[in-house]
Amino acid sequence: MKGATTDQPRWLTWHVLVLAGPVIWYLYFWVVYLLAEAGCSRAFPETQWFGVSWVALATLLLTVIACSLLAYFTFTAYSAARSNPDLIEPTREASLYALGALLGAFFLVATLFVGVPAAVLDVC
Amino acid sequence: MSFASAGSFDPRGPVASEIADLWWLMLALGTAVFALFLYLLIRGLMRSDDKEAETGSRWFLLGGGVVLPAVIVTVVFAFTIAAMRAIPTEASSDPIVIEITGHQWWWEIEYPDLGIRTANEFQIPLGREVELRLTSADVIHSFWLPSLGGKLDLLPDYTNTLILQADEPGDYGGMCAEFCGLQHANMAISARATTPDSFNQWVSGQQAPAVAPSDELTEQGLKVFLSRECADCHSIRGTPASGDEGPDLTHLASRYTLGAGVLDNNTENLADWISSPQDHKPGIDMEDVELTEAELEALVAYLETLE
Amino acid sequence: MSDVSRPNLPRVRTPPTDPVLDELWSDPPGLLGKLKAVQNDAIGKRLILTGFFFLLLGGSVDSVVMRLQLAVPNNDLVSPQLYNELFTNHGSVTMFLVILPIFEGFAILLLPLLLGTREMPFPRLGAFAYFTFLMGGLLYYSATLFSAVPDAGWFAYTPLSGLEFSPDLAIDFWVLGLGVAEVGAIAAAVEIIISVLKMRAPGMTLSRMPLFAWAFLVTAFMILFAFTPLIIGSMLLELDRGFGTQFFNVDAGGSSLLWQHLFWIFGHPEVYIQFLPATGIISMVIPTFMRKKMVGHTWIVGSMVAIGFLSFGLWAHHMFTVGLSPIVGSFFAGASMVIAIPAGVQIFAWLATIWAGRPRWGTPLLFTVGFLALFVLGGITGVMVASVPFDLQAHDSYFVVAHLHYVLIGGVGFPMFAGVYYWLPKMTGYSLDDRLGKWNFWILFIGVNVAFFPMHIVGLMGMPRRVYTYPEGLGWETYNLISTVGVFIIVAGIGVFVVNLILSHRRKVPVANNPWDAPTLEWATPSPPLQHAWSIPPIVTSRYPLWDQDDLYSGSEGDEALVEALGQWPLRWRAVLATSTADAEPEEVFRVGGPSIWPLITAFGTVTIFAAELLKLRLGALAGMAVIVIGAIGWNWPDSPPITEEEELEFEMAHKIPVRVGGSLTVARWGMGLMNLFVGIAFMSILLAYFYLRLDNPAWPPPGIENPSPLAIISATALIGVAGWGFRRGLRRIREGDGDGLLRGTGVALLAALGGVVIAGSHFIGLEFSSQDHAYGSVFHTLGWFILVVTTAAIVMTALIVYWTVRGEYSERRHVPVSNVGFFWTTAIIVWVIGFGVLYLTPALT
Repeated sequence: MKGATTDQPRWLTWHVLVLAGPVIWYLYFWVVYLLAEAGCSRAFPETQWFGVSWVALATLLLTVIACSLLAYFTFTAYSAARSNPDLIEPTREASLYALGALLGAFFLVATLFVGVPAAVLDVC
Repeated sequence: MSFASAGSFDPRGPVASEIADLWWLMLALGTAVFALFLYLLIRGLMRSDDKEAETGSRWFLLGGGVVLPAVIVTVVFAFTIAAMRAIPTEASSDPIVIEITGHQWWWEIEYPDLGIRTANEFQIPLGREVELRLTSADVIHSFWLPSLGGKLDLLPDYTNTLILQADEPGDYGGMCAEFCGLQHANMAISARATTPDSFNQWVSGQQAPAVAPSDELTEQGLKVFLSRECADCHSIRGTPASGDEGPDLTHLASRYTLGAGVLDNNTENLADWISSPQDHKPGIDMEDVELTEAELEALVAYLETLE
Repeated sequence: MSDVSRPNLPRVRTPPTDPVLDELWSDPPGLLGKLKAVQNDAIGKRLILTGFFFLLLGGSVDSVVMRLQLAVPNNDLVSPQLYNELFTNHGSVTMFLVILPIFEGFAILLLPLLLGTREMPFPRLGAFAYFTFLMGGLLYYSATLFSAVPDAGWFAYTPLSGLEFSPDLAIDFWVLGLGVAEVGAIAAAVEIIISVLKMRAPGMTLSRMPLFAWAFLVTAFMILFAFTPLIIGSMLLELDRGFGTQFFNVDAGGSSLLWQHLFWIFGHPEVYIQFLPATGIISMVIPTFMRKKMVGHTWIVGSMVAIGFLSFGLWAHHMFTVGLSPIVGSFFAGASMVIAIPAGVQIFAWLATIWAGRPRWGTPLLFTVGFLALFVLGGITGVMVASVPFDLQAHDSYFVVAHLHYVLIGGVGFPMFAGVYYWLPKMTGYSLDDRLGKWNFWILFIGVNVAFFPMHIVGLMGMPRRVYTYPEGLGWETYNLISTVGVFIIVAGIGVFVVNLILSHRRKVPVANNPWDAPTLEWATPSPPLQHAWSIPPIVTSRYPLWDQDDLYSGSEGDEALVEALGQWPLRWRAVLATSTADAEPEEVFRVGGPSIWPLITAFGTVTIFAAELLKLRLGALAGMAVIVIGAIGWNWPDSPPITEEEELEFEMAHKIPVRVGGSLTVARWGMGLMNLFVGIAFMSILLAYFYLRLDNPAWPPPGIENPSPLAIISATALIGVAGWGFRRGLRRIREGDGDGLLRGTGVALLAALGGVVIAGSHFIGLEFSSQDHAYGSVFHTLGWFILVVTTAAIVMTALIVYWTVRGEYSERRHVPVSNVGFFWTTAIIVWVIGFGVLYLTPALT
C-alpha cells in the first residue's frame, strides 16, 4: 500500500486519511466525556488546577490536541487530493483523499463545538 | 380545577422567560431556513429554462450545505450556552427550600426549614428563588411546570436541584413528564404563586397541627379514620395517625384536588374518592374502603374541617 | 457525460447459460425447499414482507386506537393498562421489527443487482438472520397469549422495568423477544458489510460505488456498534430480573441511569440506522428522475460517514433532564447541533441536483420531494431539541412526538415508499399504477401534516407524552382532535398503497428492463431478474454505467476474459467473484453456500435459549446451546468438492485468480474480523458499565467486600500467555509446511488454555462475594465470566483445529481456519489482559 503522496510517510494510506478525522473525534469525545463524568462523580473530589476546575482545563487541553491532529490530517489529505489529477471521473486516490479532507475538516468543527463551551460553562 | 395556560409559550418566571426567548429565536431562524429551502426546492423543480446550472453547483453546496447550517447552528449554540449560563443551577441567596419526592403516582412535598408536609400542591412566594430538591421513592418521575421552567427528573438514587422563581401570581400546573407506570397520566402537580404576605399566611396555616374535631359528627369521623385502615398509610398531625405511605392529610381541606389532580376536592367527590378510589385511579395503592353511609358521612365531614 | 439520459442502453447479452445458472441458483421446490431457501431474493422479500406485516399489526392498529383514545379528554375507550401496552408495542415494533428489517431486506434483495454480483457472501447467514428476526418477533408478540404484554415503554427504563415494579413476564418478553431479533439484525449487518466491501463488480472502485451501497455500508457498521451495547444492556437487565444481580438496584450500589446510557448508546444511532438507508434510496431516485448525475457525490459520502460516527456521540441528548452536569450537557448539545452540517450538505447536494436537472414526475420523485419537505422540518425541530434549555421544556412532551414522527415518517417512511415504487416493478416484473401512486402520496402527505403538526403546539403547551388521557380545559382538545383526524387520513393513504399492490398483482402489466431510464446496474437485468442476477458479471468503468458505458463487458483484457469465462463455468456450483476493497480488482472465485436447513435449526436453537430464560427453564438453555453447536457444525460441514483439482487449477492458470471451492479466504477473514469487532464492542460495553458503577459508588469495593487476591488470576494469565505463544508457533510452523509443528503448537495451546480457564473459573466460583451481593459483585462476576466465555470459545475452536490437524487437513497453502483462529486468539488475549487488569488492578487507583 503506498502512501498518500510521495513525500509523506508510508503509513499515511488512504485508509488512514479517510478514517483519521472520525476516529480522532470519537476517541476525543469519549475521553472528555468520561473525564467530566469522573470529575463530577462522587468518587472523585473536586480538585482545582490554577484556581480553575481541572475538568474544564483538561477538556480544553484535549480540544487543542485533537484540533491540531485533525488539522494535520485534514491538510495532508487535502494536499494529497490536490496532487492527484482530478479527472472528469475522479481517480480512486483523488476522491478518497478528498473524502478524508472533508471528514477531517468537519470533525475539526465538531471538536470545537464540543470543546469550546468548557471555557465558559460551570463544570458540575 | 384546571390550569388553562399556554405553558412554555407563556413564561411567568425568569427561567421560563429565558427558555421562551431561546425558543422564539430558534423559531424565527428555523422558519427563515425552511422558507428559503422551500423556495429553492419549488424553484428548482419548476425551472423551465434548460440552461446548465452546473457551474453554480459548487456554490450551492458550499453556501447552502455548509455555510448556512454552520452559521445558523453556531448562533443557536451560542445562545444555548448563554441560556445555560443564565439559568441558575444553584440558588443565589436564601431560597425557599422544598423537597419533592415522587411516588407512584403522587408528589410528596416537604419544606424542611418550615416544617411543612403536604402533597401534590404547594405554594411559593412571588419574586423569590425556590430551590426544589427532587428525588424519588420508587421509579423515575419528572417534575415540570411549563410556565415556570424546564423539567428535571426525580431519580431514586440522586437528588437533583431545580431553581425556579415566579414573577406573577397564579396557579401553575404541570404533570409528571417521565413515564412512571400505570397512572402516569394522573400525576398532576401545581404551584400557587402568591404575595409574600399570603404565602406566610399559608405557611403558618400549614405549620399548625390539624384542627381538632369540634362536634360529634367530626369526632365520629376522626374515630373512623383511626379505627379503619386510613391511619396505616396517612398522617394527620395532632392525632395518632402517622402512616407515611400515602399523602399527609393534616390540611387536606386546603387542597384543590384529590388523587393528584383526578378530582376536584369537594364533599361529594371526597366521599366518592374514599369509597372507590380504584374507580377513579385504577391501580393505586389505596384500596376501596367499605364504610357504612354514616361512617362515610362522618369521615368526610371530619376531613373537610382540615383546613 | 454531463447530460441526461441517452436512448441507447448499454448492450446487455443473454448468454445461453442463463437457464442453467438460473436453475442452479434457484431454491429447491416445496415446503421443505422454502425452509432451506438461502437465495438473496427470497430472504430479502421475506424480510420486507414480514416487516410490513409487523407494521400493519403493530404500527397501524396501535396508533389508530391510541389516537381514538386521545381524541377527546377524559376518554375511557381503553384502560390505562391497555394504553400503556399499545404505546410500548407501537414504539418497540416500529423501531425493532419494522424499519430495520425492511431496510435490511432492501439491501439483501438489491445489493447483488446493484453491485453486479450474484449473491451475498454468506447466504446461509442471511437465512439465519431472517429466521431469528421472525422468531424473535413472534416470541415478542406471543406475550399477548400469556396476557403479559410489555408495558414499560419501548425504552423500558429501570427501575420501572425491574422486577420490583414489573413483576410479571411482560418485560422478559420484551427483552428476550427483541433480543433474538437483534441477533438477526447483527447477522444481516455482517452480510451487508462484506458484500459491499468485497463483492463488487470488477472496476466498481469505492469512488464508483453507488450511494445506496455507501449508505448501507455505513448503516451496517452502525448496527454492529449500536446493537451490541443494547444486547449487553439487555443482558444486564435480564440478569437483574432472572438471576438477582444488582446492576440497576439503587439500594445495592446499582444505578438507575446506567440502563439509560446503555440504551441510548444504541438508541440514538438507531435513528440514523433507520435514516441513512433512506438517504441511500433518495440518492438513487433523484439522479434518475432529474435525469442528472448527483452533484457532490463525495460530499454525500462524507456526510454519511460523518453522520455515522457523530451519531455515537449524541446519546445523552435523550437524557438532558436527568440532571447531567452543565459541561456534559454542552458536549452532547454541541455534537447534536453540528450534525446539521452533514445533513445540510446532503439536502443541498440533492437540491443542487434538482436545480441542474429536469424532473420526470413519477411517483418515486413525488415521495422524494415529500421526504425533503418533511425531513427538513423535522431536522429544524431536531436542532431545537438539541438546545439543552429548550429541551428541558420540549423533552417528553408532544413536541418531541411531533419531531420524531416528522423524521421517521417523513425521513424514513417516505423514502421507503419512494423505494418501493421505484424498485418493486423491477423485482416483480409488474408495474405499479402511477395515478394511484400519486393519490397515495398526496393523501399520506396531507395526513402526516394534519396528524403531527398540531403536536408541536400542544406539546409546548404542556402535554406530556405517554399519557392515556388528559383533563379538559387545558386548551389541548382541538389539537388532539385534529391529530386523530390526521391518523385516519394516513390510514387511507396506506390503504391506497395496499390497493395499488393488489392491483399490480392482479393486472400483471409487464415492465421493461429499465422503465425509468435509470443509470445503475440493476436496471440492466431483466424484470424480474434471474435468480443469480448476472450470468456474466458486469465490468464497471463509471458511477453511472448505464448512462456512460457502451456495454457492460469492456474493461482490461484480463477482466473481460474472466467475466466471459464465469458466464460459462462453473455450471454445477454457486460461484461468485470477490474483488479488492478499494479498487475492485478480482481477487478470487469462491463458492457460496447453497440451500440448507441448518440456518433454520441454528435460529431455532438461538430462540430456544431465549425462550428457556423466559420460562426460567435453565436446562432448556443448555439444550438450545447444544442445538446451536450441532446446527453450526451441520451448517459448515464440508460438501464433497463439486469439481476436480485439475479443473480448478486449469481455471486458476488461465485467469491468474484463485478458485476456492471450500469457501473464500478473504471473505472468511473479514467475517472473523467482524466477529472480533463484535466481541470487542461487547467487552467495551461491559467495561463502560463497570466504570460507570465504579464512579457511582463512593467506596469500591463496597464496605464488607475485600479486594480478591490476584494470585490465581496471575497464574492463569501466565498459562494463557503460554497458549497464545504455542498457537502462534504452530501457525508459523504450518506456514513452512510443518504439520507436526502445528500439532505441537496447537496442542500446547489447548492444554495451557484449558488449565488457565480452569484455574480462573474455580477461583471465580470460590470468590467470597456473589453476583447478588452488590453491584460490585454483579459487574465483577459478569465481566469475569464474559472473559472466560470468550477464552472458552477460543479453546473450542482450537480443539477443532487440533482434530483437523490430526486428520491432516492443513498444508502450507491451505490453513485458512488456523490463521482465522489465531486472529481470534489475539482478541481473546487482549480481552483477558485488559479485563482482569480492570478487575484486579484498577480498584487500587484512588
